[in-house]
Amino acid sequence: MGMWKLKRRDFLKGLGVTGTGAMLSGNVWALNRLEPIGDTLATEYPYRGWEDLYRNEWAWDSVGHAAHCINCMGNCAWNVYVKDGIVIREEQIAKYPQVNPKVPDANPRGCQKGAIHSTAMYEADRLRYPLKRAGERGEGKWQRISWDQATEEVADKIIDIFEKYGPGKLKTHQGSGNQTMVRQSGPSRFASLVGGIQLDGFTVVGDLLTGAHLAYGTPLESFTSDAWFDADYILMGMINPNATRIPDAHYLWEAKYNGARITSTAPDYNPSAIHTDLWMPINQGTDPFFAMSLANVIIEENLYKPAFMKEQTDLPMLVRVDNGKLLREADLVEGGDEEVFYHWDLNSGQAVKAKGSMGSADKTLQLDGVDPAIEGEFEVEGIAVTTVFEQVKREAARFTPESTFETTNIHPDVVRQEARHLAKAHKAIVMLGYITSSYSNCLYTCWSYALTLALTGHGGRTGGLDTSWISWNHPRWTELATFEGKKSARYEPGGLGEFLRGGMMEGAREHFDNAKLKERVGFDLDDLESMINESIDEGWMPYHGEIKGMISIADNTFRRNKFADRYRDEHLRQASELYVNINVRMDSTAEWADYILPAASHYEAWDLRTQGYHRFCNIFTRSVEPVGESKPDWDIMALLTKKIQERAIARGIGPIQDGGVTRDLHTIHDDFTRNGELSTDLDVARYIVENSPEFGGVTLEEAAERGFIVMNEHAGINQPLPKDEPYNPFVAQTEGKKPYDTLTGRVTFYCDHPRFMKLKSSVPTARLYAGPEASNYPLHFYSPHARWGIHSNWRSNKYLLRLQRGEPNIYINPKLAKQRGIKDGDTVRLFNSTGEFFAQAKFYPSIPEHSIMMEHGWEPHQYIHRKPMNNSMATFLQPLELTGGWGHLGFKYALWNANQLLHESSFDIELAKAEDIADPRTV
Amino acid sequence: MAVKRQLSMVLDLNKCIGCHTCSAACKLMWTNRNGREFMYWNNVESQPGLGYPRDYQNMGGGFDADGALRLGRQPSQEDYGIPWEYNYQEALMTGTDPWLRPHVKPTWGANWDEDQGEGDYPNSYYFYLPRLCNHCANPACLAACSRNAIYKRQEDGIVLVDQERCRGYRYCVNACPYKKVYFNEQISKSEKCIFCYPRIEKGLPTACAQQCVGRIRWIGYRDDEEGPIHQLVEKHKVALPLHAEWGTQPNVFYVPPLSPSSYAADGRALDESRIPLSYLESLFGPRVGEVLDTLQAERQAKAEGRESELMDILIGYKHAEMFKLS
Repeated sequence: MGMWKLKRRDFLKGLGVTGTGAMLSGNVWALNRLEPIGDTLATEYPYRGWEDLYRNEWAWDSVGHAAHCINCMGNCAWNVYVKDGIVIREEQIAKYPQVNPKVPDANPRGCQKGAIHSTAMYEADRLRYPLKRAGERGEGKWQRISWDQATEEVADKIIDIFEKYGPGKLKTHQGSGNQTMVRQSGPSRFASLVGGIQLDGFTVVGDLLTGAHLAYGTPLESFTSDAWFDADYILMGMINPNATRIPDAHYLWEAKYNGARITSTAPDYNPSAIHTDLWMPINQGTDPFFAMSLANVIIEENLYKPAFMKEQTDLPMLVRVDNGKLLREADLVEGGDEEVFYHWDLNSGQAVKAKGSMGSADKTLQLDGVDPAIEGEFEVEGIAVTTVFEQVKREAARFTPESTFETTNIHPDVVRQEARHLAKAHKAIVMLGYITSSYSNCLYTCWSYALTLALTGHGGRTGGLDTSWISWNHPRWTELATFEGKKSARYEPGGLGEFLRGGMMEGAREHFDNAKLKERVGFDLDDLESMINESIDEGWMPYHGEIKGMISIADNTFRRNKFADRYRDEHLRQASELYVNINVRMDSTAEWADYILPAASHYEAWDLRTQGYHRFCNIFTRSVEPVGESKPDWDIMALLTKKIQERAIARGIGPIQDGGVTRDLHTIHDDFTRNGELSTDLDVARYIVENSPEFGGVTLEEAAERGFIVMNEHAGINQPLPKDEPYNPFVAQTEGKKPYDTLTGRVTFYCDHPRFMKLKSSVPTARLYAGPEASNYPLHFYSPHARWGIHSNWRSNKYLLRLQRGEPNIYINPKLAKQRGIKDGDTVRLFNSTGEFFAQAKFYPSIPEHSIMMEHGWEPHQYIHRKPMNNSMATFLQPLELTGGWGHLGFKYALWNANQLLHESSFDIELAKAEDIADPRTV
Repeated sequence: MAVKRQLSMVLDLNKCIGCHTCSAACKLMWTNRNGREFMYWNNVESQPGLGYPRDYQNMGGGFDADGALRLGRQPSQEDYGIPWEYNYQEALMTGTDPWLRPHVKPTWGANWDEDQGEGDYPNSYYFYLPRLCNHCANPACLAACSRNAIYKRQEDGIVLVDQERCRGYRYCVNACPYKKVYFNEQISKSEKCIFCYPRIEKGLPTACAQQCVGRIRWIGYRDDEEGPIHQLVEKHKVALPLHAEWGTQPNVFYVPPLSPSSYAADGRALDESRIPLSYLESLFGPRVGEVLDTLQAERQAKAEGRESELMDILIGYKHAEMFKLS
């Protein structure tokens, strides 16, 4: 190693103090300018004047506040440091008050993406001026135009579309890029006024935990992350909070130090698994089998809690033996209610109507002396009945830990051990994230985990399902976004709208083997097609058909949709009249627009943000003026409506009938701005802050000074937000005995909807996901959320790329790589019948040999030849998520409709050929 | 101790989530400009792994058992990773480049072996090791500096390279076994983590600690018996230096990582941590096993509803109280 053996003093003597120049590496330097100096270790160093050098680098002119409002639910308060009119860096405010001295505070919420945002906002892909395409769509040639020209031309084209085709032909979908109140309200209010098509923001990205809605009547009632701290058992089902919920993750590891057992199921030993007590190496997509095996053990070992089951769940509801339907009042009484159900009262020995259902006048879960049987067979007016629990038991009996072992790869001993821990826990939480919701068996996973929790009495303060989102109550925001409820956008189920309008069935048919698919997931593509048609025909799910124009706001739709090129081509074909993109940067969707309108970034507009996992509303104080000519989204929509109104009046356009309302393009600006009251981002921010009960009457100035508002009790939707304790979901139900928003008013484990019955899914059960066994390609593939981006946001930031591999990469087990002659760092080709893409191979021993992982969100324009992962990412829909007409099941925005599925595909892999990845300019 | 007072940091590897917010914070605070672009005064590496710079643990430096300085080698630009630039303008705004990509083929970077670790599925293992200058009591960089341009501040023990006296000989770069001194070619001087002294002087913690979202970092003076450093290092004895055998007497300490059980071939969970103890000992010395046992025993106390001062410190109920700077 060439290491020197010298005492320190000798070394210094030899080199420095004597000033000779014999150097280690053989170089010779003259040291004649050395001033003598004492020992720099033990005495005060005499020349410290230079230290101002670094002090002077830590300087700024002003500090603003902001959060980051794209589809990250983190929502963290930051200081924004401005020098010479430029944001130089950001740092978390880190002053959220502690809610309770026994619970760790929330500081310093943030992550590495927020910490570099100031570099992203000034990157060369930032949109600074209105642009009009100067070549073909997607050719990359742009002409800078004025706002006046841009809005006038767009306004005229919008009016043209109304004139030529009538209302309903404009897709005005606002994507998950806009999550703040002011920013989001603008395009939403615009969509309400023009009746534009808006897809469900959850299901377009596959983020809706449908099984949670089925069970609890909402997937958006969950825990603030500080409510994890007092749990004593937490199971992370696939979720990877250390990478994807960075600001919240500390509560998990603090809970662990507080005595909690933390476990994880995930196909890979992921960054969250490393800190657990036990990581369970589950086979990809077999989660419902594992959950059902837990239920099996809980029942077999009598670990269940009857008191909770009787009061809080539908497990004691009576079910007819003859047809498997719930026993309804209509079965017993002429003209009886279809939504009133029965218990068998053990005290009186007869069937009694259960209170609290949708059809019941008594809105309570109070049993009032009734002791409902959870087991047994009974007869009610000649009808043989049993209980839901009996049905559940029968199904759960099929999933012994021994029988699920081969499917899940979780040993029976492990299943039994964890079932016992779960049952024993005072407060148990099963945490599911948005990776679960984009599997075809999401509903089964959530539903079966909900069953394990309900059986073991976990609800309210004693735990439950963490669904990664709490919806807070914001009446003023809602009014603004929905035009005071007077006119509505055309809402559409996210997964369904994208699937149909994007022509995805064709792609699905190319990839999946119909017979194999049916064996895996319980239906094939023909079944799916007819069930989609049924859902639309029955009015369960709306679909608004072909479009003529598209205004895309904060939505990287051409990045995230499956069969990506086909999807894009189909949308561009339909939106032949107009495609406008409103955006902060040139993403893979903006690149194809006719017009681009540049939006202000997080630090350049007034705004407010709640949502997510905590009780704080963060304030955006417009720390700097927007770059170039970019504008806040609200101001853009105000400007656009002004032009539409002017042009409509000039062109003599009056009210346009659209169903029960009129589309009034000639007054749209007055309507949008409430006659000039709300013209700017600042107007709207002030209006919301100062008129929202949940903010308690604080002024905008006070809020802006502090950077955040602590919300009061009015923020809770299901129940008040308690002042001094973390928010646990459904306490109003477990303690207040308020019914759940479900058909039976209870946590639901029985669904006798005809489609559920047809697909043998009337009680929680398990299904596989599609994967390689449903196709002709051997490798499992999944694309989880990334540590290094929020979907495509920040994926192309150079500071973050320098902390990765610098280009899109896949994760591969070194043994599989060796079999295929692939070395770490090689460029590989992933392919199936629908397409191919190239990426760098990164070795990851923590993934099974039969799987490939690639974090989603890379921009198509980051891939070699711009061939994105999503071209070959095969997908379909889960038909159960398209049901309606049954209690709480029916199209509900952000509550119930079908997810786009993200992990169902399969691939093969090989080393890329040099000629296939060569730069076309050099070939 | 040679200096009057010594600031110190403890990092709990059981709470580090590998998010790199510390690295990002440090980057924008100090190293996104002026020739420092390739430097990560604070980095986070997955271990086992080659780390940053590549294979630094085998580059030599520090002191031998007799206290003699050992020089190592200077990392190459490739070992650090070349800070890639991207063709945003050409690929996205003018349509003149076919796709967005780095200007050189990436072959190494500050986090190249992220999440890789060692072992075979399902018994693979890795953890995150955040690293900054250790502001050592016996700094090899200082010992190696022929200009006497490296010194320890008497009031807080922060090790600094005098940017006026430094002539860029790079002996410090060679001598530091942690490779936490970097040579800035643009100005021909060596630079390193300054423990954010401009912030410290204003009563604020370092950017890496203040912005640490996992809340894994405590800062305080070593002689403050009420402070977190004394509590964790001396009293509860759960925080250990990295590679103490290198002889520099680091003032940065780590609570070593627990890890979940590994599996037998038949799928049963074994009652053993998946990170081999011998490996952890090679990093943090012979006391690792004892520390891990303490952590588990104190967790158990909490689980049984008993008090644990150690767990309460490690939980860190108030972020602001993790730093005691006076």
